[in-house]
Amino acid sequence: MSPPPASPPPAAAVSVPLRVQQAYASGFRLEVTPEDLAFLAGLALTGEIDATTEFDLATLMQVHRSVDEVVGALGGGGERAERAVGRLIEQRLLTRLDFGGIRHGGTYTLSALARALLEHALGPERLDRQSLAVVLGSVLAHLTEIEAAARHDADPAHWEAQVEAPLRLVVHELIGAIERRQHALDAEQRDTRQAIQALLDADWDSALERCGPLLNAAAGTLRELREAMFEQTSLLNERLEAIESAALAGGHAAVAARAAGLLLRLGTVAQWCQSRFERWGEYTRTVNEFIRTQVRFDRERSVAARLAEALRSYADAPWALVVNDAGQLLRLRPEAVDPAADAHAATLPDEAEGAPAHADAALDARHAALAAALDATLAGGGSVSLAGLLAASAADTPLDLRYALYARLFAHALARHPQAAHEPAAAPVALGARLQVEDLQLTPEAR
Amino acid sequence: MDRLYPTLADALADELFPEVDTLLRRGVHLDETDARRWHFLNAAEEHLAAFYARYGARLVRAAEGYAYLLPGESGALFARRHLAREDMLVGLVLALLRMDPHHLQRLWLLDEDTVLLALQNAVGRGALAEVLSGRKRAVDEETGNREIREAVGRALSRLARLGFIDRETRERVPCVRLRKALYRFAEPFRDGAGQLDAARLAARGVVMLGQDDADSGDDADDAA
Repeated sequence: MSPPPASPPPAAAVSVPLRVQQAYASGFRLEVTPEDLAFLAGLALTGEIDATTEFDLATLMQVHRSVDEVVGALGGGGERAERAVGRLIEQRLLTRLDFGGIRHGGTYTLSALARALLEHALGPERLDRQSLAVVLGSVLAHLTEIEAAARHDADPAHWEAQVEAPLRLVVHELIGAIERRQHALDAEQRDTRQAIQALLDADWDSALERCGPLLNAAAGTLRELREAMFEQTSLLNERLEAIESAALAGGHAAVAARAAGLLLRLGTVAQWCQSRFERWGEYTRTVNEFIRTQVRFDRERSVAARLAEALRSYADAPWALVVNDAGQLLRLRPEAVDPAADAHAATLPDEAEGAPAHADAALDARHAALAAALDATLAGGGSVSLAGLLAASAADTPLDLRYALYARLFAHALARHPQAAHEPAAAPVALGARLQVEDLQLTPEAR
Repeated sequence: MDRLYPTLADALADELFPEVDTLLRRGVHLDETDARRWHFLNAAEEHLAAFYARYGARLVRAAEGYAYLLPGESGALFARRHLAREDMLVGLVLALLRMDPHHLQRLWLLDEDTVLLALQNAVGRGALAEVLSGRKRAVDEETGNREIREAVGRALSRLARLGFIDRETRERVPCVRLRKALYRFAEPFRDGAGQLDAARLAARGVVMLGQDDADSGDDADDAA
């Protein structure tokens, strides 16, 4: 079997005709008979039962005989079995692991292509503690061998056959097998969430009882995966780091990069296990909290119906929640202001009842000038910052007058421009050493 | 007597007290989302309830898992206000969404367009525009839509400041996460027939019936 080509260049760098020519020129053809598929399925299941991803030739022969007994179409005999194995290798469905026949009879594993075919034909592979432990154990065994090979200061052919190729083919494919199972588990959890959604839609009373087992089963699987990953991660990382170091020391940059890439992928797998476990925990808490709250709060769902009705008729029968508002020492106006309706509340005393008793001519004059500037800016389509206006025009005014001016200007803005967009500032603005105000940004009213 | 805080002085001496106290006085609703403050509040609840009672205020711990400080009726020392009309409308529709299990899958995270659409469906676009803009008719549809969107955005900001929701951006889409305190909006409809309960709650100072907008948001300017 010839190894698959190296990583292709980025898609943008390859034209469609060139890619098509490459594919055609590869000469690869796939002819999978139902008998081949049965043989592959038998091997996959044998691997699961024996907790391994590798098969020696004797095992292949034995599995072929067993499958023949069931299917009855493979044709018995060792010669036919060997031909079947050869055909699967040619079609890149079986991968020989000992690169060059170091071991008598050889060691084989199912390729990613074979696993993808089986997944397509039989449904996705399951990701559970057992399957993850098998794959991780296999990865560790290979990495241990690869690390030992990397310690020999050998020629480039040795590095290619004993280090780079196993990393590229075996470990890459095994981690790929975990990643495919992750996708399958994600899909399974989406199905579970939809099933829970259907239960919640149907019957709140029994939802907790019926949702519980679904939630717990998924949580149990994720917990086991996280534990299995946690147990193996440090050992796997140690091996890969050792391979990377040896490769760098020997000047094999490509191998070092491949080891670093695998480290990254393993880290991503571990992160996936952790994040899925946490997210499922949060989802479980949310479901349980919802059921407890809603069943207690609105068993007959009548509260929601009355709430919807109140929303429809709110304009005719308004009401409002009361909240505490004792912490806003710096605010001159509350946040919840309806500018249009507040116009009367903001009417100036001197407009409604004549001049206030404490007014003095200087304050009135300054106020009139600032108010006129405000009106003119807004009328001209500009925006105004009250604090900015005051800071620019009244910097020389004593602090107490500045405070009074700001208050009067604020009231003037609300009274005269109720339709303007009022945006309170996020933070207080300093108008002096001892005076901070909540600024008000006004933009012209829509006409 | 609480094991962590045997006395009121112990509770007040905790470094979290100033933060929790300030938030409660501002009308913020707390829940387990803010784990440290929530645990402090739970542990010191007995002392804090007695402490705030001396100001004429009530520390409310709702069974749904949130808490807030409710200003007392006449004679209370804390300032109080009621929510503005647009905050009420948006809060009511958010409460409806919080009671809908369809939004549970995303852990109560909704994009703001969903909120806007739910509001328009529940109230009707015309009525919504009238309440939010204060005008019977918008100058044009585009202006009307913009005014509604802006008013809803401002209401969401104010509701977030009070702890009813969190605002966040996911993949550049503005979203809100619905918090438990939204159940407060459904409280008047919990038993009986809606407005009857609102009247009962109004008598206790929990809600205000009608909306005297001249008084909007400010019942006690001089209290601290």
